[in-house]
Amino acid sequence: MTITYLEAIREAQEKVLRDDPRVYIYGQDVANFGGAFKATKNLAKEFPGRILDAPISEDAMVGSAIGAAIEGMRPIVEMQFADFSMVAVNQIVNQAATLYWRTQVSCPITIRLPSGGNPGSGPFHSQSLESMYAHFPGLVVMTPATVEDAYTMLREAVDIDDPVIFCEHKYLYNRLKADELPENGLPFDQARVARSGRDLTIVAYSAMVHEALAAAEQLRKEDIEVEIVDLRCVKPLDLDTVLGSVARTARLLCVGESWPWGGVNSEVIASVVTHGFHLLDAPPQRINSKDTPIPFHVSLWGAHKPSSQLIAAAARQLYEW
Amino acid sequence: MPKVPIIMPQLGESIAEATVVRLTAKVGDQVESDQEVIEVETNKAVMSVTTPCHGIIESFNVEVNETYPVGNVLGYIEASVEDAERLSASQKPAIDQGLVSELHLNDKSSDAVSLPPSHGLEIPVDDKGAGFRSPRLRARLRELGMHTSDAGVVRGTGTGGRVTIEDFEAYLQQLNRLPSQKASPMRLAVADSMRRSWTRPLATLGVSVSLEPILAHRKTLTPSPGPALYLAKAVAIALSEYPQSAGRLVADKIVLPASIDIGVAVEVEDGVMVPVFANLDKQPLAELPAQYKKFLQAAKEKRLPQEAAIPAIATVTNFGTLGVRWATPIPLPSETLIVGLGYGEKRPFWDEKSERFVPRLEADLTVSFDHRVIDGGQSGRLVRRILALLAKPEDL
Repeated sequence: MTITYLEAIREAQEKVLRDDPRVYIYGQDVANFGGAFKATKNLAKEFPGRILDAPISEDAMVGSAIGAAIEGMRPIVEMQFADFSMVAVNQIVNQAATLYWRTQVSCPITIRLPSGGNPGSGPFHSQSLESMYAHFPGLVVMTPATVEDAYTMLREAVDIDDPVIFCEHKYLYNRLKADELPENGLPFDQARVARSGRDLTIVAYSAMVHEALAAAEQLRKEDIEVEIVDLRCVKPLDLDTVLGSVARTARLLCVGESWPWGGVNSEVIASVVTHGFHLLDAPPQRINSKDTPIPFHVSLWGAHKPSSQLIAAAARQLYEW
Repeated sequence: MPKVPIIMPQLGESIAEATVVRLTAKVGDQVESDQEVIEVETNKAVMSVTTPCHGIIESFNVEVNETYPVGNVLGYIEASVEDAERLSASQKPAIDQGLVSELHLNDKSSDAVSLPPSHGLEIPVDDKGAGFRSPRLRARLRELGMHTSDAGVVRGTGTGGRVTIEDFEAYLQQLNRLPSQKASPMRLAVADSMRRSWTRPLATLGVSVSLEPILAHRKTLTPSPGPALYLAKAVAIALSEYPQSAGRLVADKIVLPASIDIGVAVEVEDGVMVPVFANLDKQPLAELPAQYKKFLQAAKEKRLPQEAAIPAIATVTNFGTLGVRWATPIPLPSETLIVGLGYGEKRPFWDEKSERFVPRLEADLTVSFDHRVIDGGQSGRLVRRILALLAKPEDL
């Protein structure tokens, strides 16, 4: 049996719906239709009345979910695309993120963002917004890179009392497969060393972990051994694991699909330079998507986002520095 | 004939899959380009999958009422070679080719990424290259109690020949294979002093000096001073006349000596000590041997009396006692010059009066100096004055 990243998300939701009566799912076309990407396929039949179709108003979806959370529910809000969550930023940032800090009432909502680029999806259906949401205190921002993490971390997202932005990567939905789902995984706020290596550390998350792994395979042929740290969760950030890896390799390259300005990469590099300056033998480097809106054309899109070739070239240069 | 796949197209932004409703062509049919061959239903509408080119339908690998994801191969067309080549060239997009997109800049242009952040500005000489020490390397040197210049012996393989942390660790491993012993505090103190001094451009000049007037004169004194004391006294008098020769360059100033305090280097176990004669230009030569004897004893015990443990303006070193003829000693970091005296021996001397070579007891006298402060001319005048004083020791 194989199971995809997308199916793992569906399975995780099925499990939390079964285990916890407080859980319900709210989103556009999530009920009978099973969601834009089929992440809630058949759940409406299995859990009648708990998979609710929402109007096309992300603002209202999140606002009502916050109200339900205050009343003791554990809502999962599905955005059709991460990009559309921008309509709900006021509710997410001003209301959900600050609620506990204003009132000591928790806001255990999970907002699922189908994130990242897919061929030909263009500027409104490709964005990676983890950097933006990570900026705001009060939000947990998860960015699973594997089928297993998609499954266990989504369950944790529903379990924890803080509002969680769950960035699931669309490129991985059907392309990434696993043999089976684990019962439990690493705690969500721990990074994972996805590959060990002595020469340089690549910090990545979400789909970029796989680009980095492919780059590492290319570099292995040149006798450059890359260590890859999968952040898994970008906020809170597991700096200990990152510093531990840089202590071994003395070189750091950060890869993320979001834009360069004020992002996860910048934060990782700033933290490593602050706390681990003495560990660095070369200036930390980063690769992000280009600082422009995301192009439609597949070739432009391919040049816009970080690729394994770009990562390998940057890693090679850093290794030789 | 080559086969061209019929692929489930991206039928809308959020469409991940579609269900086959019916086939509108059958295997073996001649089809045109863009002909509708499979009807599929998505959540939004019933739509058609069309052929990529003209040819004959070779196969369908779908079943009615089954759902297939976007990018799946639904069947094949037997197509012309030209069509197959055209399509394989243009239809390579990132659909179903595994996790890693092949869409990327070619390697040549991707080399342009992630240059060190110089942005076309001139890179300061110390930014990278042989002189650059990374934070990691500096931290490692500190941890080991090493000086940055200790990494200078390592051949660097990094950019501009800089020493990478790997270069340095390999060097340490290589060192660990060799026998070693702990350096004494005295050795470390000398090393530190010499290292700090070696930051200046030092030059050395040398002349021959006749020791015969000194040897004749010292017989008249009891206890008799050694050649080093004669030299020290002569240097003191010469410097009192040319104090700028012992000046120190600090920023844009030459700092002149306040008093003529001269050190005399003494070899001790595993190092050198330099007791200092304060105001030596004003001290009678006859009183020096007793004082020197006291200093010498104290130095051997590595415990100088307070009056001798002051900074000097110059040092005299009698390396001749080691059997050495000529040397280029290094002045202490706080001093501008050091005067050395070599091994005394009989050398042929051309005597103008008798017009023949006569044996004469001679040694070489060297002056090593900070070339930022004095030049050859100035040090030459100083040396000639010292020679003149040594030729008439009764004036000392």
